[in-house]
Amino acid sequence: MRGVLDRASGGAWHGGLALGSMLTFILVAAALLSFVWTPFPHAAMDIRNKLAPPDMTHWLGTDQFGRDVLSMMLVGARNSILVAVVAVVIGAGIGIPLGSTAAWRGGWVDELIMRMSDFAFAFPALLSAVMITAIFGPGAVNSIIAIGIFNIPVFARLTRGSSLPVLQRDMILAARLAGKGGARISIEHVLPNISAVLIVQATIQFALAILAEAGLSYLGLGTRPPEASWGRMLNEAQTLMVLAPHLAIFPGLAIVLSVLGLNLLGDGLRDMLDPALRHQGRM
Amino acid sequence: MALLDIAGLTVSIDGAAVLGPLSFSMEPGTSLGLVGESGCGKSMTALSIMGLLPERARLAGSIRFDGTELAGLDDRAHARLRGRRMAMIFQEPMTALNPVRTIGDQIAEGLLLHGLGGGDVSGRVADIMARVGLPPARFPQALYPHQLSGGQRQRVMIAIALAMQPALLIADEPTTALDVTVQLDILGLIRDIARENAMALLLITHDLGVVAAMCERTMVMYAGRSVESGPTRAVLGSPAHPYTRGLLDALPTGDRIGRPLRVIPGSVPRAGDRVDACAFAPRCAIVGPVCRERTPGFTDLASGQTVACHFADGAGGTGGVGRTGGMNGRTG
Amino acid sequence: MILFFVRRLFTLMLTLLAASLVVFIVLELLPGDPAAVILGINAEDDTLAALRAEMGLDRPVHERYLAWVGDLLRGRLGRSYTYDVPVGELIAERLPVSLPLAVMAMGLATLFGIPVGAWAAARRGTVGDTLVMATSQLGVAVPNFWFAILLILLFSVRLGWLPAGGFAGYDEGLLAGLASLLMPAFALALPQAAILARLTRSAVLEALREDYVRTARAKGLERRRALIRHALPNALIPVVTVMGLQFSFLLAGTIIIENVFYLPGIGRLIFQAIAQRDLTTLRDLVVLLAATVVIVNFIVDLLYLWLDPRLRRGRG
Repeated sequence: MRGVLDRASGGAWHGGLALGSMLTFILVAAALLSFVWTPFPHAAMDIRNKLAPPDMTHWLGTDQFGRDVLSMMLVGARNSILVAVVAVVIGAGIGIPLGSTAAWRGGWVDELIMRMSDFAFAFPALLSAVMITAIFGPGAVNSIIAIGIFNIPVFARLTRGSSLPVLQRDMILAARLAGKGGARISIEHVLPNISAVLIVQATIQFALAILAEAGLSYLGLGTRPPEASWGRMLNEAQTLMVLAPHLAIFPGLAIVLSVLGLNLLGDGLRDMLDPALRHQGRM
Repeated sequence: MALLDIAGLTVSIDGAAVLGPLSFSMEPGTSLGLVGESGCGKSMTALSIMGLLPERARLAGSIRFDGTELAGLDDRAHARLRGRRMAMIFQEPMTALNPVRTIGDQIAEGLLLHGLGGGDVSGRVADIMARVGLPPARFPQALYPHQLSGGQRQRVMIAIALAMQPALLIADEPTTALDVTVQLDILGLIRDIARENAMALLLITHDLGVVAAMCERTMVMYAGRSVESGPTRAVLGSPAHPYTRGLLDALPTGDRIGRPLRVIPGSVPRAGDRVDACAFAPRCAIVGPVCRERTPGFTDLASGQTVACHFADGAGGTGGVGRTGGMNGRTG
Repeated sequence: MILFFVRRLFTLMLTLLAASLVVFIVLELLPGDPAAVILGINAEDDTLAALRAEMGLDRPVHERYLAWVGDLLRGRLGRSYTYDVPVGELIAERLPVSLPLAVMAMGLATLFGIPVGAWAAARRGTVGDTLVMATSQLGVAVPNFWFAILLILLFSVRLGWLPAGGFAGYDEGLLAGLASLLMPAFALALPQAAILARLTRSAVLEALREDYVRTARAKGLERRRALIRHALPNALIPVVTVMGLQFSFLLAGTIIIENVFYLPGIGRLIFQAIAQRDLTTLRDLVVLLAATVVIVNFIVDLLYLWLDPRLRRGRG
């Protein structure tokens, strides 16, 4: 806790950056570990041992089918990261080119792209994600698409907003005079200059994607069984709350610590890379 | 008894000295001009009196106002004096008024706060606005600051200050941000209002012409200290400190039109750089060896000035630390 | 000012039109024939055709879209084919759950978030401020449905103070009904309150650096009073914008939270409509939800005018 409370005079959370990096590292390490080792096979049932509280064999206990909670959570970390990473990559991969285009083309192209992203913002993202997964069927791929789509306007707006001042610089004029086109100028000159902002935003969108994935799989619209997922573990735990409260605690803690870690990492990076950005807070 | 008596005032921010030691006093109803380049500590002096220093700033020494010691006073007690007994007009009228509240509201706020409105606050506000040149017929109290020009906003600021009839009015570069054409109007208004209401006026400016027109006494500051003070006529008419002379020489005057402006070479030293030496030595035209060894003490001159210069009496090097008795004459 | 309203109303209409178009197209992509869903796999071909004709499914796409929008504009909602009642009736039944829930949640978030944020700003750098910031950082990271489960664990399972789920209705008085919405409202409000607290704090800190705060203090206002009377009203301008956005998050959040607490509200109705492929209900609900979001944002614009006189037309 010391890390959270430790605060520098400038208002930056240096302890926050350290804690954020640590939590993010644990999340990634847990996900990688699940590929090579879990205490038990995560889908293996053992009915005789169902709803066991945490002990020496099952460190975090077992669920109603006697599956090992720790093993399921390690695999859940892998699935969370997978969904979140791909969703953010989709969002950035489409949003950044759109934002760049809007910035250097200006005019009606800019207007169109921005009005479209306004519209996407005005629409509750979760509702749309629920609709998309419901229509195309539940599953990891569809939830990736649903979450990814709503990352597009975020990256488009940010890229446009940060590109505009860079495009005013003299070096851009020099590049134009050298005959370079808009796309090439964006890639060679603008994007390297705004990469810090984009990386920070990606970290934060990553955290939001983990939350969204958990929400979708809680509703039964995300990752399908037998793959483990934190959100679904919580859904199943809710009905067993009286018998085995530990089932409802651990997956939730995993979500909170992952999201907290990524948020702290993002805020810390923001402060470190550019103190002037600190006030342009996120929504 | 003096209205304001400052003795040995120093201010430091994060351990670095930014002001002082500084001493001066003001009688009720008098006017004093604080002059110097930006960064010399003029505004810090004003903020120290008002109790509005930045939170990181540390204050030492004594500020006696109206018989109350202000140094070490807590915010609540200081707030009771602010506005009611001392008021301040700031440099930037464009940003000094709250954009989301009406001007009438902002003028009335101090009256209500200190319980000075009597029965008819709105009537008082209308009277005050009329006095500062904002007649109610053309300037309803329901206007917002963005609906006024810079000069009009500064009039609102003066109205806020005037409303509570303070004993001391501090004006920090009140016309610097304004058009030249309205500068004179605003200065005239401040002077008249201070006179009519027998307020003491502490005017902060970098403009010697303004001081000459507005203030009975003048204090020239350099690097957080007073270098020369006295009756305005004496200080500007027969400046004793090389820095004051430099400031006067830098003024564009009629007989020098067409020639390049003279400037004082160098710049004000950074706060906290000070050692045992005259702070002005690096830029001084008449600097001698002693200037780099000792901080000059104050010398009282027959013409009424008090000067902090080793060469104030013409001999050089005699002015030690502390006050030297009335020496006569001054060196050119 | 009038021009501002006209322009806002125009974009408002445009947004709603776009929303209805998107919803319609997306639902058109839905695999499966709604008529077949209703009648089941054993339906005869001619009954199927008859139902399709009755539902208007045999008409061209654009005709159906125009007919639907026309109905909506005249306030005529469709008929749910899973419940076999008009959608309007379903909404009227569930609004007394969802509306108080959303209002309570927004109220709680505002009531906690803004004062706490202002309090932290006033005590910047102190232990209290640091604790608020750490707590709010945690609050942003907590999924609301997990927070809901924790609330149930504590207040229903352990302490037995509040029902674990379901809606008591208003038959036993308004308070009894609202009591069953208390935990859901808290769960919905938590992340929004945390965001509001962080935002208010930074907006107030920014406003405190403004010259007019110094002017206010020079008038004789103590630090706290200057903060409340001068910094806060200015700081609220950006905060209100975000509150508009938050309301739409909150509406979407009801889909999850009403499921956690088994509340018979609009959010659960949407979820059920999706699960049961109840197209008519779904598209009417989604468009109504979008309309709510758009209207709330319009109200935010009005609040803006009230908070920031610079946006009103005047002299100068």
